[in-house]
Amino acid sequence: MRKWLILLILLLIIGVKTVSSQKSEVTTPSNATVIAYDITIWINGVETLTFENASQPYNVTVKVFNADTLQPIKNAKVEFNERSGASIFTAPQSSTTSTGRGVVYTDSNGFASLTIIPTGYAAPSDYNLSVVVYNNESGTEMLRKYMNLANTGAVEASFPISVPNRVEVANTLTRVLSVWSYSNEWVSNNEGRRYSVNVSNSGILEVESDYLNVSLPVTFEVYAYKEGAQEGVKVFLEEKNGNLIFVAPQSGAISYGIGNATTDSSGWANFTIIPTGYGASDYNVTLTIYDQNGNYLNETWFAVDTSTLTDYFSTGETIKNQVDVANTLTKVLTVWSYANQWLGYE
Amino acid sequence: MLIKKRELVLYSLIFILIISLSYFAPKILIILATPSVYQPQTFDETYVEVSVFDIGEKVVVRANVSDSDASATPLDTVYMNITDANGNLKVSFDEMVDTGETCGTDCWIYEQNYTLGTGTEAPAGTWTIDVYANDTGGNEDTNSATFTVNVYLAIALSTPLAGGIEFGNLDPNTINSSSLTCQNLGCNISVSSDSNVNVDVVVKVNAPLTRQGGTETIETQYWNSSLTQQPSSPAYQFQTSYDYTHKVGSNLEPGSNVIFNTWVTIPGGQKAGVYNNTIYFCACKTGTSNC
Repeated sequence: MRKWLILLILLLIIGVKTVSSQKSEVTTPSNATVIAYDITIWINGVETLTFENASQPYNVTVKVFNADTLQPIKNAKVEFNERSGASIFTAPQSSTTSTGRGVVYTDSNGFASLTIIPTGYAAPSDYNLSVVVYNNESGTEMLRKYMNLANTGAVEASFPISVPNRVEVANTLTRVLSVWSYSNEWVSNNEGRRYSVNVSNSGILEVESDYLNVSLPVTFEVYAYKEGAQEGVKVFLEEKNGNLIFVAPQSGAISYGIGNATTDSSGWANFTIIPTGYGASDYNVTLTIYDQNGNYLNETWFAVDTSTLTDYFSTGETIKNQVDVANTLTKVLTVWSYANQWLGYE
Repeated sequence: MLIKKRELVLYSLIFILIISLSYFAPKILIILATPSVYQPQTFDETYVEVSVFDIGEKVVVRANVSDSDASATPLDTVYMNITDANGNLKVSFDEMVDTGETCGTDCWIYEQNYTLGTGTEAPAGTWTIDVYANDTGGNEDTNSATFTVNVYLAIALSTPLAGGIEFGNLDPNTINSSSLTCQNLGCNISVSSDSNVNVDVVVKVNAPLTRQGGTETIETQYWNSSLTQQPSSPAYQFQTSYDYTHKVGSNLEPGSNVIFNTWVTIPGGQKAGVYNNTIYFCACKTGTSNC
């Protein structure tokens, strides 16, 4: 009996030894540190995401920090976006989204400040405000939050305000009115220029003219094709550092007016823009095309004489979406008048 | 009834005889007139009879050789051949030594040993021993036996890889970020040259990357491997059980190595923090799935 027991134990030992040599397993740890951003926004010194009134200038301060360690993040890119606001450059119009954008970068303590004037007076239903934070090195979107406008009506100035870059913002408002008066005459007469734009999905971009005049409306008639009409091609028209009320070009802040259209089932996207870069510096207008999947196809830059406003004369060319553009200009004037009043209240 | 009892007794006696013979028969040597080689036996170096060996072990071979006519035609030489599991002759007519021990009248025990090598020198499987004996009269005999060499395999990680894979600081919405550790051929898995079989290497993680101090996970961790160059793009998502469909390496020879890399995609909105897990690499004999 003992002999069999010993034999059994020996067999077990041999068995274990055999199995254990049939594999070799090693391990190593892997580690990833995720940096998530968070922000705090103060409007006129109060931590909030809500603007009180349309047309009122606000002192906005943003702090960007690491959501895990709470350490400030410097040089983060912060975009404040206003969709379907009152913008001369791209009025909200049929099949075209209008966005006003101000871009700031945080300092070594994670802070950035600027003056923002919500223009959502009598705003359409798709009006919204958002703030988006990017890692400036990687370009990665780190955070997106929506902000609010409590009152889409305008309120007359009733107390002095203290806002950053007041002089620059006031000067921009002055130029806004100049551009408005000239462009309003063009729009009232339902005239301007029409530029045809042909774009193929392989990236060929043909634009009728590469020149724009300040305050002269231009209707872009974009046709996308590739073995026939192409639906869903994205047309992105951007004006940098124009005269925008939402975020005026100011120290530490870059201003953008953006029109975004998509070709319809016939391959067409028609929209009207009005260059506003009167007296502007570091100003440009670019047209960029993306395919249906958002892949970059091509872009072109336009030459603009920013020193001259363009008097109305009959071009014999009507503009498209004239009613939408005219209505937006009316709102622009209203917003301008209230904002100008607030800025003058010291 | 009486007859049946007798038969029963007879059968019982026959049964006992058979059992007794089965026990004693191997120990009974029937001395033959010419050289006769009995089945060789294998022992470890402490002379415990075994038939399974590991790489590097000494195999002691003993064979009983008899010659009833030794006075007229004494034994001349006893030789040994050993053939490995792949059919390669490892020992060729190696003369065995008379131990001086007897195994009965005109019967002597001969011995020789062979030390197994490692790696491809000692392939796993069944090895064959052939023992030959001849006498001065030109008579000869042979017998054979087998023993088994165990599978041995081992893998090792390159120093950077063994030290842990670091992805560094990553932003949410980061797509397929390569590990910092594994860039520039930093992560290698090598098959020990002592291994005596070709191996398949498979991989798994203990869990998705998980935030320290929390429960949030990142499932989007990927890997790829190559025999020849730095893997340039992610190919397979890590699983928590060994993936035999997508292997890090297949049929890897002893002494070879495979280059590994891993990538991670950080979803938008991923909670900040340090995320970690453990990556397991396992090698098993090619064609098996023992991990």
